[in-house]
Amino acid sequence: MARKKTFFRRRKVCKFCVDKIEFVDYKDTKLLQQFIPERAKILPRRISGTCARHQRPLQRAIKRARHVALIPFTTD
Amino acid sequence: MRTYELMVVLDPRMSEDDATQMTGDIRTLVENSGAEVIKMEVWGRRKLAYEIEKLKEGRYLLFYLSTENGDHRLAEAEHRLQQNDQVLRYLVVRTDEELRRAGLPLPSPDEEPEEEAAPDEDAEAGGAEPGKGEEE
Repeated sequence: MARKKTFFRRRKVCKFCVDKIEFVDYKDTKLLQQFIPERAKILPRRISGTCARHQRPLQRAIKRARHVALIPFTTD
Repeated sequence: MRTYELMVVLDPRMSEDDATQMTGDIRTLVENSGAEVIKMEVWGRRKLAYEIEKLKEGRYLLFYLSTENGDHRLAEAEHRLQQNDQVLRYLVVRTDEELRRAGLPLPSPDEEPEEEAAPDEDAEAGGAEPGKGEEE
């Protein structure tokens, strides 16, 4: 039987909890940029580790910022 | 009291003068709809994250608004913005609830004298900072 491999995975933590960011501002493109990888999709929680409580406002902020062309919907 | 933010993206092809004029017009429009402009930021020309009507740039304006108990007709102002060809995009966001929840102060007008915090004040005035101290 194959030996069970042990993975050492860095524990993901919610950036907003750690940095105590309670208000996600759609104008804060620097912050939002961290959650939109190359294709400019919204980074899923499972990857970013953002908790549900903070993913929601984050998602809203990204969508607002997209609307006013502060951040892209996609890359062309 | 409710607070809102209004962001407007204008056509970058208009002249500086027209932009100033337009800014005033929007301000009046908003005020006529029963909201008070607490603060205004003119971001100026900024690159758009994607093209809008083949344009690569936009002129950004930001208004911080407040209204008394939702007694306003912002929807009307929005409608007017929508009709305006010079307006590429606009966004109205209500901010008071989120700010309050986050324990942040609501937007207030900038004080005129910036260097009011006199540096020559003696340090042992007994911790004159009232409230809002950071707790561990």
